[in-house]
Amino acid sequence: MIRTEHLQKSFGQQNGQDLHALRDVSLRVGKGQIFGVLGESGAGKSTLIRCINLLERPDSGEVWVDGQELTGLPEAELRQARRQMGMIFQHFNLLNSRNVSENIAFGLELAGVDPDARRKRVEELLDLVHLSDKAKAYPRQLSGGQKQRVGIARALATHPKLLLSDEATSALDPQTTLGVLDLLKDLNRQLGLTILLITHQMDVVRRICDHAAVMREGRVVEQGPINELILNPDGVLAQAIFPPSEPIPAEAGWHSATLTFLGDSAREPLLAELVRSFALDVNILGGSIQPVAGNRVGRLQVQMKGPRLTEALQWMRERGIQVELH
Amino acid sequence: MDLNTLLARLMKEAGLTLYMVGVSTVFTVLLGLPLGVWLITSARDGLSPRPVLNKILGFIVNVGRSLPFIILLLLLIPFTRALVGTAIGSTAAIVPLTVAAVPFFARLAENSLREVEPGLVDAARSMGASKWQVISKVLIPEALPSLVLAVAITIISLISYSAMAGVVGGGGLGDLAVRYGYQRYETGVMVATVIFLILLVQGIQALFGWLSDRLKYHQ
Ligand SMILES: Nc1ncnc2c1ncn2[C@@H]1O[C@H](COP(=O)(O)OP(=O)(O)OP(=O)(O)O)[C@@H](O)[C@H]1O
Ligand SMILES: [Mg+2]
Repeated sequence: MIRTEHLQKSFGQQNGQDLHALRDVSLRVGKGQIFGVLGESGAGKSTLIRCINLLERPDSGEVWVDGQELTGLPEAELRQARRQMGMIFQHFNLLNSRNVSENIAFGLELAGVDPDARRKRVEELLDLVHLSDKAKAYPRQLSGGQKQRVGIARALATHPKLLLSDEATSALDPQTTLGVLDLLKDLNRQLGLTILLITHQMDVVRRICDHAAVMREGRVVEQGPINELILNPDGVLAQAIFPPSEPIPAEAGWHSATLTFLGDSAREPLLAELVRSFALDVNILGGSIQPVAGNRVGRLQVQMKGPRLTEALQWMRERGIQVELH
Repeated sequence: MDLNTLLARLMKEAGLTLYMVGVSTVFTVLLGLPLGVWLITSARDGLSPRPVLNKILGFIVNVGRSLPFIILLLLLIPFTRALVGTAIGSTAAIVPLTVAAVPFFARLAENSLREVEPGLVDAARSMGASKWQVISKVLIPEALPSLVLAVAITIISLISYSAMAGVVGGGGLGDLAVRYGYQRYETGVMVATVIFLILLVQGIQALFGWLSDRLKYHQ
């Protein structure tokens, strides 16, 4: 759905150094994915997402959206292409001079849709974001969560296949954030909407994303399905979810290990199986199980002892469990 | 002057003032608003940057604003004559009034437009808005309450400029006050004119303030 090739963007120079906001960014976002981009402040996340709909022009590189290369398009065709992508913002960016219905109708108006068709579409959208009773309210009369739902409805008015979201929940309280995230998840399921979302909140990624990228100093340092990223013990994402802790030293005669496991293996009685099948002694030293992208991901620090240890390790690895011996 | 003549005279001169100020306000907004919009959109971070041209025009606007009105009035006499056929009279006075007010209003309009959140422009562009749509559907409607106040300030400045229109035979309230109140020591005329001007300015400020508040009610 989105493919960027070697995007570069610099904002001039400061103290003789190039201010590189993007360095060689090649991103791959598939159809129907909810793709999260994480990174610290200043990492270039906003610049990246603004380069996707060309609010910001990259210095070099290509932007492909739904099979169309955008950087080479003439202005009029670019405007057309932008209607295939909705965008929502941290501060909602609703027009204060327009009420909710008029805000939602804005993109349709820009596209020259006639008033009757507009009215009909606005009603559908109000219904979709559960705001039918606020149709005539003005933005200043709405709560943050309601404003963002207007923003979402407005972004979806022209039936885009892709939604770009720049920190759309960062200005909301935790409860409201969950509401908005659930709405995005529903839209993804019901409409097959592809969502590229930028956030610095790990929780957002954990709750709705199936793919993710991590940015640092203008570069994408890792990207892929969350399930894979999470199992890489050296990965940034995995370490963000499970902050590295000092391995707890095993007692004499024991072997200590960190086990990372996902989905089904987290639900199965893993330890019981080790004890039963391999006659292993297993002690849990620490660990946690976290919900990630609809899965559960566990990381346990254990110490183990027994004659069939090597066999047991092999068995675990075959089942997709990450085992690190200390 | 007895009371009746005074009132009649006051009404006549007030009519001239309103004529000069009214017409030049219309021209000022018609010319100054596009100029203010252009100052915003051609700025370095604007919708279609033309930094050099922007600097040059900004400089001209500043020159226009820094000339005292009375000097501008005299400097423009040939221009006015070329434009309206004469440099004398209230219609002729409209030319220098407009020329003086356009850069003033353009700067005020520029400031009002600058107050519009850049995020709103981003949102419109992300929905495929053209530059013209951004101006007409985002920048101007969102800045409207503030633009209305800028018009009020401009009208009040024009009233004050128009007091000098007597120099070119434009007449009006200021001229009345100078001729009778000052040159002929008719304090009554002076006081009446001043009271009338105060009421006029207050009235305009109140009217436009109310209008702006109504527009802002939603924002
Ligand atoms: N319009 C601009 N002009 C100059 N520098 C800019 C501009 N926009 C971004 N930058 C710089 O580019 C870098 C990346 O900025 P960007 O806004 O993309 O970061 P971000 O990851 O979105 O950060 P945050 O989490 O704070 O929103 C920063 O160093 C920033 O200062
Ligand atoms: Mg950002």
